[in-house]
This record gives sequence, C-alpha cells and structure tokens, in this order.
Amino acid sequence: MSDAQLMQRPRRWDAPFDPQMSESDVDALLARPEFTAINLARFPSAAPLRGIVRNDCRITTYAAGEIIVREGDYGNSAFLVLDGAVRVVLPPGLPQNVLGRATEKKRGLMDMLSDALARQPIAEMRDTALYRDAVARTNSRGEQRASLLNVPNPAALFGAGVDLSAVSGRVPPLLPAFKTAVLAPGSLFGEIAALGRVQRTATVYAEAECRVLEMRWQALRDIKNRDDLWRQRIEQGYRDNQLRTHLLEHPLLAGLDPKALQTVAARTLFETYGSFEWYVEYKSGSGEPPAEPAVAAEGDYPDGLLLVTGGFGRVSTGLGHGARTLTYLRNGDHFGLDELYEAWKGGEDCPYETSLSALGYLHVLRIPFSVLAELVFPRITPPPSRLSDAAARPIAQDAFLEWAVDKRYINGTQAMLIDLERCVRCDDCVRACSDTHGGNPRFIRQGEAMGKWLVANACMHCVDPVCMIGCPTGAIHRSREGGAVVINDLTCIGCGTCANACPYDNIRLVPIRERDGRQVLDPASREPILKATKCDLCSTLPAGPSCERACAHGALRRVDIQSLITQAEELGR
Amino acid sequence: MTILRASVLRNRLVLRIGREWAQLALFWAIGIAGWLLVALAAWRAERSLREGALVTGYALLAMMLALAMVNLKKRLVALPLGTARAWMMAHLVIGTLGFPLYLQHAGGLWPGGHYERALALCFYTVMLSGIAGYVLQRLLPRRLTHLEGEVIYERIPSEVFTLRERVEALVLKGVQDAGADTLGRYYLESLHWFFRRPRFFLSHLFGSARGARWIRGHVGALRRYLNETERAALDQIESLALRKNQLDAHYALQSVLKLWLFVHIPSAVLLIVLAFWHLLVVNIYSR
Repeated sequence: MSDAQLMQRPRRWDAPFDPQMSESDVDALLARPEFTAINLARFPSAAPLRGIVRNDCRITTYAAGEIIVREGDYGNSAFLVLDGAVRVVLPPGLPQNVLGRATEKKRGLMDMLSDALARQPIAEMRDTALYRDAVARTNSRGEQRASLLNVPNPAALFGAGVDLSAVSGRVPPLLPAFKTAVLAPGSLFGEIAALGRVQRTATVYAEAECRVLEMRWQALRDIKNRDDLWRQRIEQGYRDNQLRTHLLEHPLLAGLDPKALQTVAARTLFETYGSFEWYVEYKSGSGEPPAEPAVAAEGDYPDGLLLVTGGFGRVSTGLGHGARTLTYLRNGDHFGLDELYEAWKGGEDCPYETSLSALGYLHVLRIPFSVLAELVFPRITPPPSRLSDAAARPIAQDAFLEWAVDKRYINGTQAMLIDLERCVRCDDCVRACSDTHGGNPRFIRQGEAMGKWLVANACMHCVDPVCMIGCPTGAIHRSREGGAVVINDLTCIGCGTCANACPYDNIRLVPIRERDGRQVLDPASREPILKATKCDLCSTLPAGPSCERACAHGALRRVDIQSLITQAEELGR
Repeated sequence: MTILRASVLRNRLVLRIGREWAQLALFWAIGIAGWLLVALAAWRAERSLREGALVTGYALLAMMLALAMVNLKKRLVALPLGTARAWMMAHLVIGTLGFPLYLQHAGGLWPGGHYERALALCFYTVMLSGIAGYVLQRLLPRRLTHLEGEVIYERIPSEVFTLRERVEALVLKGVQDAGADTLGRYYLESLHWFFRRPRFFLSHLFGSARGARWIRGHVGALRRYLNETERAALDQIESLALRKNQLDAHYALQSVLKLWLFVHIPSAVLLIVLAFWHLLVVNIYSR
C-alpha cells in the first residue's frame, strides 16, 4: 500500500460538460424565460439548477449547414435553441449517404499485433494522467461535424445549379422533396431520444449560424422531475414533433394522407403503464414475480388500437388456473387489431381474445376505434394471422418463451447465448475477451440456463438499457455507430449506479492500476479507485466480438433473444 | 410480433446452418483437391525415377505446420483472420487428409528404422488423441448439460471446500443438539473421505450412478441409529452430498475435456520437431 498511487475520488461534475462555461454564461442562461419560471426551491442543495446548468449543459455554436443531430443516431443530450436559425428535416428525412456519419475509430493492424505480442502482465492498468486531462478531453471541440454544404452530391439536396461555394450566412433551401420546419429560439429538440434512450428520429441542422444549449440527459431529467412546465412542454413536444413520425412509421398507418394523419394524431391518447424504473423491483430479489400492470384484459371490449412505442408487454391467455404467455410486444408492435377489425367488419362488439400486461413499463398510443373505422380500416386488408393463433401450439413449446419473458431476457439485442451441448468448456471465449480488454474479461461464462441454452453474464446491449439511467456523468452511453451500450472510461467515476441498476448483473466495478502496476487509491479514504466495465462488443475491433469469433465449436453466439424465441417456436423445441 | 416475424427468421436460421455446411464442404473440396495434386505429383516423381516420398514428405510437413496454426490463431484473436470455427473446420479436414498422405509417404502403417518408428509413434499419438478429442467434444458436453447447474472448472475445488465446511458445521451442530456422537463418527469414517476431494472419477466418466448410490446407501444405513434432530441434519447432509456428487461429475467430465489436449499438443510439438530433424537428415544424406 505504501507505494500506491493516490487520486482524488471522482464526483459528479468533476468533468463539466463545458469547463469554459463562465458564471456570466450561467447568469445569462438562467435569465432566459425557459429558466426564470422554474422554482429553484424544488432542487436539492446537492444538485441545484445553477449547478445543473453550469456543469451539465454547454453552449455550442454551429455554422450554417452544420448538422446538429442526425436521424438514426443515439444521443444522450437534448438541445435548446438559444438564437439563430435551426431547421428540422421532417420524415422521410435525408438520404443516409448525405448525413456524413462519422465512423468510430477502429484499431489498426499494427496496434492489434503489438497488443497480441505484448500482453499486459497486470489487468486493468490505466494511464491515470488521462483522467487528469479528462476535463479537456471530454469537452474537446475537435469533433468532426458533418455539414450539408459538404455532402458528396449537393445537387441531390439543393438541386442543380446551386453554387454552395458562394453560400455565406444562410443555407439555401432544400429541394421541395425534403420537408423541413423551423425551430425557433426557445425550441427544445432531441429530448425524446435522450430521455427515452431511443434513436433520434429526425435530422436537425443550422440554417444559419446559431447557438444551442446542449443539455446532458441527466440535466433534462432533473429539471423535468422538478418543474411541471418543463414536463408539460416535453410531453407537448412529443405530441407536436414525434407522434406523427411514430404513427407514420407503423405499417397500418404508413399510407395515410397528411390530413387523415393529422386527425389520427389529434385524437391519439398517450398511456404509460408500469414504472420506468422497473428494474428496482426486479432486482429486489423478493422472490415474488414483479407486478405486471394490466393494460387490457381478455374478455373486455376494446375501444382503441394500442401501438407500443416503448417498453415491453406480455400477451397472455387464460389456461387452467394460470395465464399462458403467447408472445410479447415491443416498440412497433400493436395490440387489439384482430378484435377491432372483426368488430368493424361484423358490426358487433368483439371482446379481447388475449390479455396485455406491462413488463416493467409500457408506453402505448391508443387510437380510438371511431378513428380507425373512419380512416384506417377501409384501406387495409384483413390481418393475416391473429395473436390468439399462438394458443394452438403445444404447451410444451411455451417453456423457453415463458422463461425469457420472466427473466426479462427479451430486453437483449446482443445476448451472449451459449449452446451447452456444443460448448466444450475450454474458455477460449473468456481468454479472447480478456486478451482484447487489457487482461480482464468483460463477462463471466455463467448465468441462467434453460435447457441447452445458457445466457451468460455478458452485457446484452438492451433495447431498454436501464444501466444508463442515473449515470451522473453520462459515461455510459449508446455508441453513435451500431447503438452498442459502452462506457467512457475517462468520465466514469466508479459510482456503481450502472452496475446496481443492471437487472442482469452484467456490469462490474474493477479496481484500476497505474501503468507500472501500482494500485490507484483515493487519498482520503485509501480505498481503491473503481471503474465500471462491461462488454463493449469489441467495438474497436474491425471483426466484431472476439468471444464469438474465438469459439471453435460454434457454441457461442451474440443474438437478439427474440430471434431465438422465434427459432424455438419454428423448430418446435 | 414474434409470430409475424417468423418467416423472416426462419430464412435467417436456414442461411446460418447452410453457411456452416457450405464452409465445411468448401474446405473438403479444397483439401481433397490439394491431396490429389500431391498424390499426382508424387506419382509423377516416381515415374520419372525421382523420390516421390520427398513430395509427400514436404506436403506432410506443410500440413503439420498448418495444423499447428490453429493454436497461433488463438493468440491473435483481435486480428481479422476468420472465425475459430472456420479454423477448426480446416484443422479437421487437414488432419483427416494427413493420414492417407502419411500412408503414402511411409509406404505402410509401420515404417522400418528406429527413428522413423519414433516419428510414426508420434504421428499416431497425435492422430488418435485428435480423434479421441473430437469424439469427447461431441459426447461430453451433452452429458455436462444434463447435470444440475453449470460450474466453472477452476472453481470446483472451492465449491467442494464450501460444501465440506457446510457439512462439517451441520455435523457439529447435530452432535451438539442430539448429545450423541453418531453423526460425527459417521462423518469421520465415511463422509470425510467423500468430501475431501472429487470422487468416483471413472464412474462419472462412464455415466454410472455409483456416486449417488454410495451416498444413498451410506445415509440409509445410518438413519436407523439417529433421532429426529439428527435425521433432519442428515437430510441436509445428504442433499449437500448429492450436490457434491454433481460437482464430481462436472470435475470428471471437464477434466477429460481438457486432459486430451495435454496429450495432443505436446505430441504434436514433438512430432514437428522430429519431422524437422527427419527432413534435415534426409536432405543431408540424399545428396
């Protein structure tokens, strides 16, 4: 212990979003109408509004043409337009090839070779000097920004004959095929993606030079939870900006004309069932299955079509003295169509054939029957199959689905699934992971087993990554490319919030060491400095997850659990 | 919805399985073509009164080096050199084709000359251990899957230690509560032997239930001498002993899954060294 490296224990706001943010900047922001109405007394002393604005927000200036957020990206921050001209591209949006997506840096061949030849003798070694530079690094403005003025084929956006080199001050209007809208100063955007942990649904660019306040999602969460006006504003923003996108994306409503869509949007209801922080109850380990709030009950009469926009729902039907899971619903799925369509066709009420309950939480849009009957049903073909058809399968086939739903593995998009009948327990996967992550594997080859399938303790890169809730620094985030959930080691303060939240115990806190092998300790408590670690899908390797590639027996696969359930149903296992 | 997406995923599953078979078929096609080329080249060399064995010998050495590459690949996991699955398929194909090539090179199953016999012995050890490993890797994982729980091999000793501690605590408590040392004496005479380390290795390996029968037989014999308190303790001890029996089965099966490599890899290394010396000697004395 005597030769240990000492380091101050990291805290929230050690690495502010923008260290250049001055007190006068904060004063100016707090004087804006968006903030003056907020009741400061509702914020705790540990996280006052001033501190949130000072540390979790940054003012960014964008030049004309620069893209602020891109459709399809994952993002952990929302934006408030301070001044200047900002435009949002409405669906269907810009072509992907003109969005100038930056690729994540992959390791080069020589880098990988030198790593293979010179393995670290001690695991979890870090260059602590980098943490001291974290403030500067985290907030570096050296990030490459894409601009609509630099796209490979500008004629596709602006039409032939537009000379972009002569553009100064304001971007020329896009072709009429691209529908856009102005976001005036005071507009908030990106908040749904930041809070809902989903992909951004639209591209926003600077039409002329503008200043926007970028807010970490933690800031938005804290303000929303303590101010009713901000909460209402976010909900209204969803109705105004996102609802039509959600509706249009649904196959049933895809071809609606704008007027009909407007009618549907105006009469759609938002409903949320269960708790957004479902994992708290799930992890409590009380032994009782977590409560599943009922959304619709078998035998009741439906009054509207439910479109799932977030979370998961269990579709079940009564069997004997219990309930049998037929399938589960997630974002993009719907419930009640069979009964409503039959009622419309036959002219008589038709009760629900199945029940729907929220697994954790479930966001749904409810489209009233009268709207469907008037605008939607006349233009669709009858549903090809019914949800209740699944009840015809043998009960013996239910086991895997029931297990995956009960254990909430349905959340996993990249679960590590091991076929135990193929696995020879050689641990080549563990060694491969360890070799590519500084001598410490990022998963444990243990977990819950169902039949021959083992879901190992490796990050599943969930649809609903609850580990991202509560991270004080935003260190855990969705990668821009591919959407894997990754941890920024430089800004992780080792608080363990993510590890405690993960319902599957797939995040581990590890003590770090200096490059020379010395332990890194907090000078005050003499406790080791910890960092959160988890599977990152080997995002820096060009060939993908090394665990999967290292399995010589084809036993280990990274899978979307849903595909496995479907395969099991298909194969009648 | 799951049922609506089924057809798409069915196609994906078929593609995946089909891809593996296609890959294997490709390796076999390349392997057989290569082997035929070597055989043809050796035959033509013989026809022109040259040493055909030189052709097959160099080909065999190249195959051995290619087979050894699978171990190197494990160390270069970060490099995009294909999947270990593909490498293993290639390893199996090359290894299988190595045998007819060896027969052609050696002129029969067992060559003359001490050095050549040593080489042959090494070759057969590598080949037979490889076949044994292949068979074991197909049989034992299924047996492991049917055992209760999944245990990491390296953790088995500590799990056994924990179980032993729990059993000893139960025995001590049983003796104290009942005021008789029957349980303690029985533990020292029988169960201590069982809990000291993994037992019934061969029985577990061959799938016999001898371990469980041993436990039930001993526990049944003891039960008549115990009162209610001691019987309750004995029930818990029996359940821990059965858990230990499962660990023993894991130990036996996983040990064999690892041990065959301790024959295969050293003999392969020795074979390559001997083959290089053989090559050197042949080249020196053939001039």
